[in-house]
Amino acid sequence: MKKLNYIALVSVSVIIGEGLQAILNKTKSNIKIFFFNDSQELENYANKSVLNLIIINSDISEDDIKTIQKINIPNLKIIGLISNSPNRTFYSLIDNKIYLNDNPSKIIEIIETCLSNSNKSKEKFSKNNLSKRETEILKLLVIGKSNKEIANILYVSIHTVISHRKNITSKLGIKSTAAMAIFAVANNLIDINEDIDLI
Amino acid sequence: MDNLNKKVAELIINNPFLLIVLERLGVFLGLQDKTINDICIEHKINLNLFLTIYNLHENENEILDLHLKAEDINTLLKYLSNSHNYYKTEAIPKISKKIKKISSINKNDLTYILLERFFEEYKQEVFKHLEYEEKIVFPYVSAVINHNSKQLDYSISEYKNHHDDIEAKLLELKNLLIKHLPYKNDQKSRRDLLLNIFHFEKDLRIHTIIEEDILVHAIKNLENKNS
Repeated sequence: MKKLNYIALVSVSVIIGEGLQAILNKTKSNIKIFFFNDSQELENYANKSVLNLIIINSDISEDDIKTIQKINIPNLKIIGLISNSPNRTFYSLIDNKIYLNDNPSKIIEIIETCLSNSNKSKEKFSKNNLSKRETEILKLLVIGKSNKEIANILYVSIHTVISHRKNITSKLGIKSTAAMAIFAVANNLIDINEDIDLI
Repeated sequence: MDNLNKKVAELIINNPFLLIVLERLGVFLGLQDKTINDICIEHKINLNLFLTIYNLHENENEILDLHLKAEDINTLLKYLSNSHNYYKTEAIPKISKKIKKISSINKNDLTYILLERFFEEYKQEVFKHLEYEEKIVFPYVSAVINHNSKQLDYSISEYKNHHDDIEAKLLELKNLLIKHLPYKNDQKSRRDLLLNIFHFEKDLRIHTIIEEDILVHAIKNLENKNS
């Protein structure tokens, strides 16, 4: 039997949320979908339940983004549904994206790929112990962002970024961004097609 | 010192690393039953210098005050230059080749393309480091022992500031290979690569101690005497 995947859908717009739910129900993967109107409900749910994937509509508020950033579940994937023009924080949060006018089969394909990656990376990745925030910072470092730029993107102080970097180095035993890039590619942390020319 | 009468052939059997140490000092195989003392006399090597280098390879890091004379420093320079040649023509190319081999097993895998690039950059860094020593430091050392360093605007303490860390990236490389890169039917070549890296790393670590603690110390003493 196929592994059951738990998907949370966060959207302010109910029309979009319900529509996406209808599309997702066509997939052959074994999934269970939960729909949330705001991130607080999602946070409560995530604290006590299994979750493999979150799909967030970009119509959510800045505060919602911050709440979702705090969710720390190993191997959790986040897909952004781009329905307006989201800011950079939104992009830094998501692993993959779908567009409002993508056709259903493409949406299903993206979600299935994301789920299979999250299951695959489970074996490889569970021992690295990087937190979601550290992973996020590592990804930004790898695509060439400076400490200062990362601080601006994530709305944190430069000291916080530096302290995260130190933790990454002590957890992984690697310090240079060149070595981090190898780590990120080997562990599927960056999208090769989109980010590779930046390395 | 009972070390003096130890047979060099037996020392090599106990610690194969000495093969390369002796070679750098101009001592080649066919050693018969010669003792350390015999070898040092035959090749005009300062016994204490030899024992210090030997001890470093036996993981003993105590450096005696060696009171090295000009001819001993020449021996040391020969040892260091020969080490450089070994790194440039053997140790590093060997590691490069082994990385390329793994890369060819994992064809078109970006991870290994980046790994190749990573080592290539490291290689350039090390070559630059070695070149600085060969073009600036070693000629200066020769000038100091020949008492004509006055016209050179340099002092050995500058070298210490310039001596950057070339071992850090090897540690990263080891961690990537041991911990982070997923297994892809490349166990044998990856293990082979790692053993070469360990060997090179140990060699470099001792090399750095010899440069920083023996060479720099000896030249500082001479600088003080000359001035």
